Amino acid sequence: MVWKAGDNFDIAISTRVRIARNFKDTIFPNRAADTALENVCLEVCKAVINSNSYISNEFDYIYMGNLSDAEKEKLIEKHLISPNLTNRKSAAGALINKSEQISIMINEEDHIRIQCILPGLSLEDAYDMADKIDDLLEENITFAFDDKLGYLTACPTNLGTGVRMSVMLHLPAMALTNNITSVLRTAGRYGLTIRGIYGEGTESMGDLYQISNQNSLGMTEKEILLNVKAVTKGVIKRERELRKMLFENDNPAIKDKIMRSYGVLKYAEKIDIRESMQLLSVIRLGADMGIIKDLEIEKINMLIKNIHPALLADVIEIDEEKMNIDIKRAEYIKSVLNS
Amino acid sequence: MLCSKCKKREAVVFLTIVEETGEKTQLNLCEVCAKESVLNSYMFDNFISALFNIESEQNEEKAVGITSVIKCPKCGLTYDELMKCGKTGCDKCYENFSSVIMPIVKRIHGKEQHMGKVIKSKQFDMIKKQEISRLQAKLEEAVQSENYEKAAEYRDMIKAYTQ
Ligand SMILES: [Zn+2]
Ligand SMILES: [Zn+2]
Repeated sequence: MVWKAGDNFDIAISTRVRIARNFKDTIFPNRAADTALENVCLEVCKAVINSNSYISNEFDYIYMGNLSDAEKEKLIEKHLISPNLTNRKSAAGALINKSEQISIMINEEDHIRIQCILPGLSLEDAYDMADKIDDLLEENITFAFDDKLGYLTACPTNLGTGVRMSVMLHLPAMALTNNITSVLRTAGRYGLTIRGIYGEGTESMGDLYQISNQNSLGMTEKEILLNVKAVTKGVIKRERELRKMLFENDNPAIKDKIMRSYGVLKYAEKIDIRESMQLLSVIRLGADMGIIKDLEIEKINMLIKNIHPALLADVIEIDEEKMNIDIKRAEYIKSVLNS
Repeated sequence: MLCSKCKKREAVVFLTIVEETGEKTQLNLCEVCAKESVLNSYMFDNFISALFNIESEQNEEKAVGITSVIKCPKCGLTYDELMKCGKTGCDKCYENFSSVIMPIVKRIHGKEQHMGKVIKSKQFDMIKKQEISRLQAKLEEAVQSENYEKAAEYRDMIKAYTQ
């Protein structure tokens, strides 16, 4: 995933659009025989790679059976595949494009899961990309479709459009002022859900939350998009107001918290994932509010992404064997913040 | 396997009826015929309640001597599995189990008619269908607000589409 800044980057970290599709007359992955599923892999690959579109040679096919656990973990941390996909040892895979913005998971819960991730708040562009891939696949594949229920999916929650649109938001001011639950409630009223990322349920690591549509049937893709966008913008506006309020009257307590967090990240010898996510959240707020000078949000975004175990092993090369992962993490964070 | 009654639809209910003499009869019914079946007075009620995990002693008593397996003939998913995991096994499950799935769909989405993108081969028909559904919602709204003039307008528009 590209974690460069995008539209509304101070709060919206990334946008993800997912479209679920299944082959007509083919049993869904949870009950199908491996031979049928291998055929699904083949057909999807053929549809993408043999298509006339210029997109076709941008994709690499990754077969689950050929991946090591570390490689799988890395793809999960990049949000390119789901943990669910890696549970299948064979007859499953993913087509991932070179820029790592598009991934087509094959034989996850549904035969096909198209997924596009873009930085910032960019629902239109992300949906557009996913929609184009859907059209491209449809040239060669007949999808399971019902006049009433729309695109048929293994789980009834994804029926209709098969579309889920999500925006990852950084909401430190809301968390600090205990406003998260009220936002959860409001989102629910609009048919959306907000859940913590990297945490269980409403708990979150690093104040990162994902807002997404709950319903996929009975609304057009455009209606879903506008709904998610409107509520997301409302949440962003509220977060900005709260940030402003927090820093009114030169609040020394919050400034102290930010500078102390920055100090720990810059000088710690050993740091675990939970603590580093929490401190990064605080300094991200500090950088946005101009408390920490000369620290780009992109740099912090990169840290938030790379400090997870599998990716960390990739970005830092120090005598791995002997070194503890928390020491490595501290080393890496220091190197980025001091660069 | 086709339904032993109508011989048209796929059977989803597989009944083994054990009579007092010990004689066994096998009856395979589609969802529609199972409902209309003579057995319906006690049988269908019984397995519908079993679906929703309503356990009543009364029902259990009645079911003695009859075993029923309800499953999708295409993917083999049983009603029990469907209710337990909440996931279908194939596209045909939605037809075969429609009477159980539709209320669930309605509860999840609050709607029952797909309004979004349509596969190419159905585009023409579906756009018509979706437009009618949209007009119907407006018609109901107009009736509810007692705007009968507008309601008549929508009714005519729907008529034009359905002709
Ligand atoms: Zn029948
Ligand atoms: Zn089935």
